[in-house]
Amino acid sequence: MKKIRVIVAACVFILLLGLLLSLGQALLVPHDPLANPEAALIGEFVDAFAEEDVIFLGDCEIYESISTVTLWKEYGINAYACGSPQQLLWHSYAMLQHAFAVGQPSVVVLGAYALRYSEPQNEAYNRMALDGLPLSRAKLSAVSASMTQGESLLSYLFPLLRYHDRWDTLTWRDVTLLAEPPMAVSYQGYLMQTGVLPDENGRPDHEGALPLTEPALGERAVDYLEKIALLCRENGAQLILLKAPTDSWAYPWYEEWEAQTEALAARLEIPYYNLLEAFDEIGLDYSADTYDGGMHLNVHGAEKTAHYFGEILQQYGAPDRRDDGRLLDEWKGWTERYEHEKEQVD
Amino acid sequence: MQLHSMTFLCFFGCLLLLYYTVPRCAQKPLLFVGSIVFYAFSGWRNVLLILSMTVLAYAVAREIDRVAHQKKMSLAAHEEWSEEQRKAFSRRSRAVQRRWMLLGVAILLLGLSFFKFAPAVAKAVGTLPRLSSLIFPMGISFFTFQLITYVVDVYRGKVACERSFYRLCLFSCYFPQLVQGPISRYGELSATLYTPVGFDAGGVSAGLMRVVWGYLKKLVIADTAMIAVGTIMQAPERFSGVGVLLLLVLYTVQIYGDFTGGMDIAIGCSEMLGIRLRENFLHPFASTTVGEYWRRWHITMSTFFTDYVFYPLSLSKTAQWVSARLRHVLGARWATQVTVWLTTLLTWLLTGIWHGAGLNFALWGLLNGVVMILGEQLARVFAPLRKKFPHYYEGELHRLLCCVRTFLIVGLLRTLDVYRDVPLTFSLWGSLFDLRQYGALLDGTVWSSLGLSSGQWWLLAFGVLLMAVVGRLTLEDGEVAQVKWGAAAQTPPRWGGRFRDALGRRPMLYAVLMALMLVVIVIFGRYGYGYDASDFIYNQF
Repeated sequence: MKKIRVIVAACVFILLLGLLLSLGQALLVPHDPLANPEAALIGEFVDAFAEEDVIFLGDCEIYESISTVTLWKEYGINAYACGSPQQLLWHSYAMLQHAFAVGQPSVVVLGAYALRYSEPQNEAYNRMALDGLPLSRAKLSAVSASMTQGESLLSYLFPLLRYHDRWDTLTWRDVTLLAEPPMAVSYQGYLMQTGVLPDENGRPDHEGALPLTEPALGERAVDYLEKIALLCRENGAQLILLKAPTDSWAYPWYEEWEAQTEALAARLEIPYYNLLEAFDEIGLDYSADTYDGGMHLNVHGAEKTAHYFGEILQQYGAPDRRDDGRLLDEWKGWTERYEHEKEQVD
Repeated sequence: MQLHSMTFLCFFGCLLLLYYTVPRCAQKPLLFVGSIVFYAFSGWRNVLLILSMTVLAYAVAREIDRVAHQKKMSLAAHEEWSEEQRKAFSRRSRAVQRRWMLLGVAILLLGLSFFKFAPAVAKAVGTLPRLSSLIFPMGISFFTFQLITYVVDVYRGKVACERSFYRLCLFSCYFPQLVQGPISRYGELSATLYTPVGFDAGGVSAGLMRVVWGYLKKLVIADTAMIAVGTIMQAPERFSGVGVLLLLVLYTVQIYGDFTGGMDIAIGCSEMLGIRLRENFLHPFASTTVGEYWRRWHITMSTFFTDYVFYPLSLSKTAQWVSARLRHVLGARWATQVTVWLTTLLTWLLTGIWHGAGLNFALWGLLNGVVMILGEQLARVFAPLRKKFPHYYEGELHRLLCCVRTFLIVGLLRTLDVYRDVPLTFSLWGSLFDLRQYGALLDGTVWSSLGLSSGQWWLLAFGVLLMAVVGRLTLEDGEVAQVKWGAAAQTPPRWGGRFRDALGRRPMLYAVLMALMLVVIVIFGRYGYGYDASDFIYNQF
């Protein structure tokens, strides 16, 4: 009899602990996409990505520089921008592994800016990149490669261990959001920025940036680029390396990096496009197409870039899907929401 | 390896699993290896240090034992000796034993003093930078004191000399007590340390409950209080008057949660291994006098200083000489009394110096001694009133007021440890009497300036209430057991009393409480990325 009581008590313990911790995790792990839209991007990618033909991978240069809606409207390209702030190449690799596990993209566009990083950089950005990914070997290996000092693998497996101290700042909205359906903040990964803060020079340059102290590209980043190239080959996808048309004192792109990236792309036989060189051809104007003084593009700049890059994607076999009724319906909904948001500001 | 680190949890989990899986004859060797591994996390040099000090204690104790044995053999072999000759021989043997004992204790103390005071001295003098950056070996005070008690107890004939070096090593290196005590006596710990044990679900579950409670006190309550204490410590002048009062309370909460939490983890882990460690706290804030407080707070340190410093000092030839000199001036009664006072003050001075090399610690020790002496004398002064108003003096209100008074006194003295600057501390004590500042308690300005959010203040208040309730629930039987233990060392007290028995009988209650406590720790605990995981305060000793 006592044995049964102990077994029942043990079951109650496990259930109660599991229930309370799950509830705590749901409440305390940040889940308000409006509070920090960039932190919600990878979660959205995991929920939404399925049969897109083109996937973009990278940091803010990717998820803010190319409008996926424009790509659809003008070229019928079904694309997803899987971006997160300061996405490192080992993050991108894990995301690409997930993409190939759930879909079959034929073109992979990888942001080149992350090639500069060889070491883990920032816990907050690691979190934004990795918290949304489902548990997999790819995620674990990305976590191991990303952790900065003081971070623990366990807190990536149980994010409550990282966010537990939010109990003190919880709002009623955190509770009500649990009962609401998930809210999208991006348009197939593209995060719209509608403001305008002109750059005084009108053109991209990195005047005022810190002098380059480490001219070599990140060793680990190069390793991961090779891994990404191999993964793409194994899955029959075309990999393209892309430098967005932005260059600023805060996010400079040095000639040394450019030269090495070109050489690297040539060695790995990956097409490389530096859109800074096509700045005029794209028709960008830094007095109107940037929302933060030239560091990132706003929606106008992103549309122009998408218009330019869509043709390149077509050359690499990105198909026009506008004859697919189901996709047409889905994109119609996103496009309407996109235009509505754009109009509100315009 | 910190007791509240993930590394320790993994280490202890693996050790526990192996401990109850291996054959019983392998349990204690496993425990010894585990203890060495545990200590090696603080540096292999520290392992060499603890083993060297154990070698010393072992050798000295063996020598003391050899002299005793030789004496016994010689006396047996020379039955023709007269009583005078036998006494003289015994005296000579005892003197040799004493010299060995003093040599052992002196070397052990020298080692401790070197690590404790050399860096401070080197820093003050400004030379020998390598010495000033010397890292204090974790728990050196605790194992040094343990080895001293062993050597002295062998000399006093209280315990038999341990012939197995490995067993003595296990006594000095036993890991749960290494970080911050309790300071075990060989006679007590050896009763369960060397006995192989089978898996006892009751003991393991009770130990686990205590460990979890310890983590809750440390990570949730003490470390939350630490935020406010840290804020005050950074700018003490900004928080004069009412800030001193708040510091007094908050630091007491912090150190109580921190120290008793660590002790619960240590004793609970040990109980899970079937080994009983001595209780170190007995609801200290139920004390009505400072003297009683020190019989309930850090009991193993207090009794160490009582048994191995105060009594030997009181009975020393020097004390007798002082007493004899004073007798001419003050008379017999006062001469004895003053000698006891001087010995008390000296003992407390040494207690203070043990806590740290600064003047603040020495003063803290002395003031504790002064307060205790004053308390005893005032009790005599008020004795007639006690007889005149027995209802009041034996009532709960008086008891409560005395508890509050004791709390305030020990808390106030403890601020010397926080400010670490004697003139500043005195000036801040003076500001306590500036009654105008107390309005800040009502208008809320002081509460919001200490770095705690309103949620954290509520958490702290609830935590203090919880500690008081659990303390109360575990008080009665614990006290009784403590008294009994004093009489019979074979029955060490069990924490929890009837509360623990009730939990043992009701597995469902145990399960629910355990789940709730774990959730509280996970959510409200201060750990993980972004936190400078605070060490246990007593690790530094």
